[in-house]
Amino acid sequence: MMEEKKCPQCHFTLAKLQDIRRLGCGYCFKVFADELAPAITGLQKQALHVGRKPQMSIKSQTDQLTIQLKKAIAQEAYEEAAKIKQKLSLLTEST
Amino acid sequence: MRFSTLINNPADWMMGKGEENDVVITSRVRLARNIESDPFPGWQTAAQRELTLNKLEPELKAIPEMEAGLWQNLGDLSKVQKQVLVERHLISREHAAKSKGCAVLINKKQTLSFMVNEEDHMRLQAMQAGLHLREAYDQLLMAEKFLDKKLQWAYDDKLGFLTACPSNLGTGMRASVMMHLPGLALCDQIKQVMQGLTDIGLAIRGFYGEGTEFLANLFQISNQATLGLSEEQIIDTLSKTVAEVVTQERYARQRLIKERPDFLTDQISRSYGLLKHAYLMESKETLHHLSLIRLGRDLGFFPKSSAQLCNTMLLDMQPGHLQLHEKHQMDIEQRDMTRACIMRRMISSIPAPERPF
Repeated sequence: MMEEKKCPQCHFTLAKLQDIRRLGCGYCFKVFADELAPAITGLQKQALHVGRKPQMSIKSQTDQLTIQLKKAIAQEAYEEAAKIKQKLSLLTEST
Repeated sequence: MRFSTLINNPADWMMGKGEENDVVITSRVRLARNIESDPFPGWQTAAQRELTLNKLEPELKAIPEMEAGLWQNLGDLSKVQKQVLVERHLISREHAAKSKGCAVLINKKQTLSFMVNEEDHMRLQAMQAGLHLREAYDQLLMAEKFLDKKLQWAYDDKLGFLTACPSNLGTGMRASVMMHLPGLALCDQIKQVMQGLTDIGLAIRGFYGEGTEFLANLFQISNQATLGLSEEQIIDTLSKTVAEVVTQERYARQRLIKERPDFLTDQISRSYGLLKHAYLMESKETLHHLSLIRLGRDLGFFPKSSAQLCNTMLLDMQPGHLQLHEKHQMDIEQRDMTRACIMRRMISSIPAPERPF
């Protein structure tokens, strides 16, 4: 028998979801992404967030992009670097 | 601030302040947020819940707007005290059912209340008198920006803010407006209006929230979807729709004055008479009469100054407030008697209705 799928972070299971209709933690959304997709589409306008982003998350995204940018420049991939720069400026604009 | 101070000081909405307050009683916005690394409250152990609470407490208290507010652990409140907070819309019914490891922080003006470990780790709520959704959201945004710098929220680029229930994903925002629609109800148009609102993706709830009956002609209208729309879109759509319903309600009231003035006068005067003389009155009937007194106030049957009294009566007749005043548990008949007694006393400060047309 296949072992029941479990969230590695909080040990939440699908059976529990059917039972209490709530998730165990934020990571559960990744673990049960496929199973949750129909419910999310049914409940929501569309399955893509267009609202406000947390500032921390923007910061971590900027950090990531900055690393990528440095890498691209080091590899002399200037076209790629230009694209990353554009993404970076878009991110800073939205704060 | 202490619990007793909060109880003795009414919030703005209870004073009958705010724009369009003849139809819109309150505007509320709430945001759901969770701490990234912690399990959601419903899946936490008691010890984990305490840990989350300890993380949030200092950050929430440090928000400038919350200075001198009331920090209240739910475990330290009696059932009646919690019920009073529910009736004032400062905590949800779900939150009132919880105790240890759960808390609420309320600012001095009672416009902001932050629930810790409700269904999500954080439920930030702002409430304004009248139709002021934008202002309510701006107030929340200030608090959220402050918290953003300190806490790492559970967030996903595609799904937005992650919440215990998928119905709150994305913005985590629920904007809602409490409307008083006696005109549309008396004209038998309320069903039609409600259907129209449902069709454009809005939810309608009764006075006491989800799944409750429509009492006192009070309706809570809110957004259904939280993901796939921006905060601005949610607020704009709701504000515009509510403004349209306000127009329809005022039109219905004018129609009643023109087409059925005697019926209208009878309804309002009858409610006044019953509230003034009844000896036992159950909650549902009281709510009905209070709705007509409020309508009478809006139409000029009673002085403008009675607005505050309408709201006070609406609160004081509810079970939690009744028992808080009486300071003891009561059976149903005792409650009906006490309620009628309070209503008789309060209504006597409003002069008999005078037909203004």
